[in-house]
Amino acid sequence: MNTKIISDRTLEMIDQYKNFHIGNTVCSIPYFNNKHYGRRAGLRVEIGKGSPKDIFEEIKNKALEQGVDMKSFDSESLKRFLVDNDIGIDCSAFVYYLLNEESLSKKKGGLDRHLHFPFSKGIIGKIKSKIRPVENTDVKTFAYDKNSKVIPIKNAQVGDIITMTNGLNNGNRDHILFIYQIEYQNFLPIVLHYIHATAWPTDGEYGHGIHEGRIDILSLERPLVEQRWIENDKTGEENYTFVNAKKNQTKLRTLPFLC
Amino acid sequence: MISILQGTADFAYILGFALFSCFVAFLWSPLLIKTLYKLNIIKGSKRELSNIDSRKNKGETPVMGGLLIIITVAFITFFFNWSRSFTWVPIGVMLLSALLGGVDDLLSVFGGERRSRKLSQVLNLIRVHRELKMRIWYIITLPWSVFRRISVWVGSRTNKGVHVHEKLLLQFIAGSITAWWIYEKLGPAWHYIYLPYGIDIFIGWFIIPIIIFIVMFTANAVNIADGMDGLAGGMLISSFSALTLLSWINGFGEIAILNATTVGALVAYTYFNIKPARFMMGDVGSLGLGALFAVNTLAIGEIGSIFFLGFLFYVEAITVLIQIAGRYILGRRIFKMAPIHHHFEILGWSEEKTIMRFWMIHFIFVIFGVWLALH
Repeated sequence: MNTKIISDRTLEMIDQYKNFHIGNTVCSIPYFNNKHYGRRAGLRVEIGKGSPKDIFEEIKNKALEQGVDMKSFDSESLKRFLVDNDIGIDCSAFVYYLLNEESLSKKKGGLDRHLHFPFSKGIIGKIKSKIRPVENTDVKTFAYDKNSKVIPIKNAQVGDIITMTNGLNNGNRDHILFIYQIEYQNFLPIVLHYIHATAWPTDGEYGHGIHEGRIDILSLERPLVEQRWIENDKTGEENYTFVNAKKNQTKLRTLPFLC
Repeated sequence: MISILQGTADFAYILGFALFSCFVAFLWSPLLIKTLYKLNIIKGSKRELSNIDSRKNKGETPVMGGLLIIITVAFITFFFNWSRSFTWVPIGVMLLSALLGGVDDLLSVFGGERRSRKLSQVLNLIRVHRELKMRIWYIITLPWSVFRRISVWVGSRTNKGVHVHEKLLLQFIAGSITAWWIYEKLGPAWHYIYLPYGIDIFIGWFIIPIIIFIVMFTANAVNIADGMDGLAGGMLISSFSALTLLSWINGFGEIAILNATTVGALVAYTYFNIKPARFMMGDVGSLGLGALFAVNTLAIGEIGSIFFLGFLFYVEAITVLIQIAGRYILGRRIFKMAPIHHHFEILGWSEEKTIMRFWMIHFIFVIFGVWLALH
């Protein structure tokens, strides 16, 4: 058995979201989806699209505004502060930053150079998506055929994504996972390790954020949703990521320009 | 360079006005300070910065200290330097802008929260209001409603005080008066833009929108820069001193006296505004003095060097525009906070360090502006 893992650069970005530091205090960045709030044209950090640096700057500003001493944060209070101030990351922005790092680590430039934005209409839309790529890249953009290709499980590589789309038809949200580690046996994948930004109903008000999980490949011939999904020690119907995957069109995709 | 040599005055005589104005301002400043404290005209510090240690006691400092300058300058000019040709329009524009600022200050302190209807609400009212005359009123004022909403979208706060769109309209009127005066009354020599090294560009009536823009932009620029104890006051001393010199050199005696009078009053004001301030300038002072600075610079034909004569005011205003552009176009902050003096404050510079460095930087650019104007 051997294991492949994503580049150090991307791992570092994952770490910055998963173990976000303020001094010696560490917490994971919570999940924030702007669809609840409908904020427009604001700072990207205010709409769940901020990089770790943006988030750090926003915390500093909010702390100053509210008279909070940043040195007084412990993990719990930092997380509360982030959630209470609507600071967080959504699934597509999280994956965007990871793929961007992966692209940079392969010396292929920023992700925005490679992405197509089919849902940005008109000249203004095109300009907006070029200037603010993170904000204009949603799951459907990643799942667009010119941006990614559906692949069979046997061809899975680190840096691939799992997209869950068509959620609007059944009331579910589109979602995206990033594969950062794969275990192989006889050159065939047996476990896909993924990471994503999400909020499970069981996470409560402050427990959501960056989740890690794994998909044990039971059969290479069967689709993804018929494999064994494990996250937070939950499987089956208790695993909300899996439930979401079953309700949506869930596909394993690779970004050709990263190969 | 325009040089009319009409009303030229001895420079010592001009400086006498600075001393006299300073003396008058000092004389009645205790009365003003007492009144401002008695009426409790206190705005408080900017919410985002109110927890910085050095700003914690600013919540107790009254605004409208700019009245010290505005009233002193208007009074001295009216009684000792009144000239239909050269001083009544600058003073009129200054007073109009100051009035606007004063109303804003008072509404910010004593007024209630104001709301701004959304466009969809206005359109709904046009459709469903039971009174026909109100529906017609909403239709007639629709362009104003659109203008108002656009100003809200680009950052005008819809709380207390005069809203940005209302300010812009009144400043437009002030700018238009200036443009009319300069274009119509001062004559064809003002239909040119005079650049250094003898480059004169004839632009005719196109000078009108340029003048309006400069007056509006400068008034707001000074208003924006007035965010720290002594900052705007100190920088205005440099700018108006340079203007005094240039207007004297260019032969505009009355305007030189007006500028010198302003310098004198500014010295008295800044004396009380230096940290810990006894009062703050408020919009009444900053808008009035910004407009006066623009009018006086344009009147003596120094449009070519105005950017350097008011250097840091313009830089401060530009940083605000950059910040807004960064927010709406790029989705991120370019500065930690705008205007730029707050950026340095958040970086950890003390208020005193920021102010004095800004004074010095501004001063050297003003000297450059004078140097440029003399070429």
